[in-house]
Amino acid sequence: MKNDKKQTILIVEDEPALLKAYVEQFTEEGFSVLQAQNGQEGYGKALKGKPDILLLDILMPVMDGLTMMQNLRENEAWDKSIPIVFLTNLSANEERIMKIITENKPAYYFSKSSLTLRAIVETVREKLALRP
Amino acid sequence: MNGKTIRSESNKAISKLEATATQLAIIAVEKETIRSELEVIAKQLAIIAIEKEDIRIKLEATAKNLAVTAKEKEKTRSELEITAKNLAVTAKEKENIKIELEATAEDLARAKATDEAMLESIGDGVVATDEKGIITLVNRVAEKLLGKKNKEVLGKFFANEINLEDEMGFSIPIEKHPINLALTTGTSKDIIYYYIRKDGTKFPMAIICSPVILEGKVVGAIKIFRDVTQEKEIDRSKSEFVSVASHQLKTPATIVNFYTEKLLNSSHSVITAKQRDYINEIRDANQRMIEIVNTLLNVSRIEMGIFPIDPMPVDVIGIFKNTIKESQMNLGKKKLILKEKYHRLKHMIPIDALMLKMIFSNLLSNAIKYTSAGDSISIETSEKNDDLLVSIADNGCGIPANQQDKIFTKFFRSDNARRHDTDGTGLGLYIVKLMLDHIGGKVWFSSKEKEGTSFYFSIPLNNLKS
Repeated sequence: MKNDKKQTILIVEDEPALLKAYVEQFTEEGFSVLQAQNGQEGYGKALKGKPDILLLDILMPVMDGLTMMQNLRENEAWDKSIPIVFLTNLSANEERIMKIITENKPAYYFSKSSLTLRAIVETVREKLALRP
Repeated sequence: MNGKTIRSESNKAISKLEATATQLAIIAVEKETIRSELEVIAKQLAIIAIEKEDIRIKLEATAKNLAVTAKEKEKTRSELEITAKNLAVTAKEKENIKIELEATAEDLARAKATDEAMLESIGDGVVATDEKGIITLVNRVAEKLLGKKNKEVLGKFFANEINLEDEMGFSIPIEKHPINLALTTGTSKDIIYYYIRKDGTKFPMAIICSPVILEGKVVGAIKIFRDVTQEKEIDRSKSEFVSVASHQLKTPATIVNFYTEKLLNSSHSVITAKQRDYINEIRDANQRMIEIVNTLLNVSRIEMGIFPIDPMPVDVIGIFKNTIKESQMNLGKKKLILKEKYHRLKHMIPIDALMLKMIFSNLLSNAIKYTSAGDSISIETSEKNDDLLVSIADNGCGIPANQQDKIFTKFFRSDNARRHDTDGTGLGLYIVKLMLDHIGGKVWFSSKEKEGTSFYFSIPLNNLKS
C-alpha cells in the first residue's frame, strides 16, 4: 500500500454472488470496500464515500456503469483522476463501449470471465499505482 | 320433065341454096361470135377458178391456224382450270393459316398479357432497362418501393431515378451501380444498399441485378429488389440477443470460476487432495464453457459482420511465436516435437492482431489435438506472390477423404476427430475460413487419414480487406 491509510474501493455489481466474491476478496487483501448494486446507488456512494478507485459492471438495472461514469465525470465535485476499472462480460470489442472508455481516461476495461479474483486485485493495485 | 321447069326448079333450088348459104354464113358468124364470147367466158371462168383456188388455199391455211389457236386455247383453258383449282386450294390453305395465325396471335397476346400481369404482380420490385440503361419496365411493387410512378421513370436513365447509398451513407457511383455492373460486365450482382426516396428518407434494399442476355449479347439488365428493413431489424435484435445471452451465460460461469478459485486458495479450510482434484475438474469444465460461449459469440459477430477489425501494423512472426508459447503446456503434455521455420525474424503487416491470432491458434490447437504423443508439428512461413503463406503440418490422424469437402462447414467434425477428442465444437475451421474470407485471405489443406494433415493459409500483403 502506498499510504498507511487503507485504500478505498467502490464496487458496483448487480449480481449478488459476484459482488460478494469481490467484496470478500478485496477485504481480505486489505481494502476498505464500498458496495452498490446499480449505477444510481453507485453514483451516490461514489460522491459521498470518495473512493480511490471504482470497479464497475456495465450492464446493470436502473443505471448502467457507463452512464454512471459519465454522470460522475460531468459532476464538478468529482475528482476526474480517480481511475475506473470496468469488469464485465460484454465483449471488449464492442466499439461503442471502447469509444466511451477511451474518451474517459483513466478508465480501463477487463472481461471478468477471463480473470481470476487475484488477477483482478493485482490489476486494481496496478491502476492505483499509476495514479499521480 | 320440061327444061323450063327444070330451070326454074334449079333456080329455085339455087336461090334456096343461096339463102341457106347466107343463113349458114350468118349462123357461122353467130357461132363465131358465140365461140369468141364463150372463149372470153372460158377465160374469165379460168381466172375465177384461179381466184377460187387462191381463196381455198387461204381458207385452208386459215382453217389450219384456227385449229392451232383452238388447240392453244384449249391448253390455256385447261391450264387456267388447274391454276384455278390450285388457287382454290391455296385460298383454303391461306384461310387455314389465317385462322391458325389468328389463334396464335390470340395465344401470344394472352401469354404476353399473362407475362405482363405476372411481372406486374411479382411481390418484389422489378425494374428492367435496355442495353443503354434506359428504363423499360417498372412493376407495381417497384413503383411503390421507389415512390415513383411508372410514367415518371419509363424512358429515363436508371442512375437518375435510382439513388443508392452504402451502409456508411456514401452515394453509389454509376460505375458501381448494380445495373451498370450487369450491363458492362454481364454478371449478376447480389447486394444490400440503401435506396434514397424523393423526400430524402431511405430504406435498406436487397438487390439482385442480372444482365438480360439474348443470343449471347447483353441487351439489358433486370433488377429485382425488396425492402429488408424488417430483416435488418431482426438482425439487430439477433445481435442484441446474442450479446445479452452471452452476458447471462457468462455470469454464472464467472461465479463458478471465482468460487472454485476461492476454494482452491482458501487459507482457512483444509481440503483433501481428492477434493482439490474435483474442484480442479469443475474449474476446467467451467473454463471450457466460457471458451465455447466466447467462440459462439465470435461466430455470430463475424456472421453478422459486426466483428470489429482494427488493422494495425504488427509483427506476424511475433504473433505466431507468442501463440506457440501459450500452447507450450499442451505441446509439453503430449511431448510433441515442434519445428519452426520462419522466412524472416520479423515481418510487419497491417492486420488485426486478434484475428490473426485466432486464425493461427485454431490451426495450431487442431494440430496439437489430433496428433498422437511423441509426433511432430512443423510450422513454416514464406512470402509468395505478394502473399504471406503459412503452413502448419502434422503427422496426426488426418481427415478421412470422404469428409474433406465438409471440413470448413459450421459444427462439422470428422468421425475420427470425434473419436480423438470428444470436446470440440466444430467451429474452429469455420471461424478460420470466415475470418480469412473477410480479409481476402485463403485457407486450404492436404490430408491423408492416419498420415497427417497440412493446413495452409495465405494473407495478401497488399490490399488487405477490412
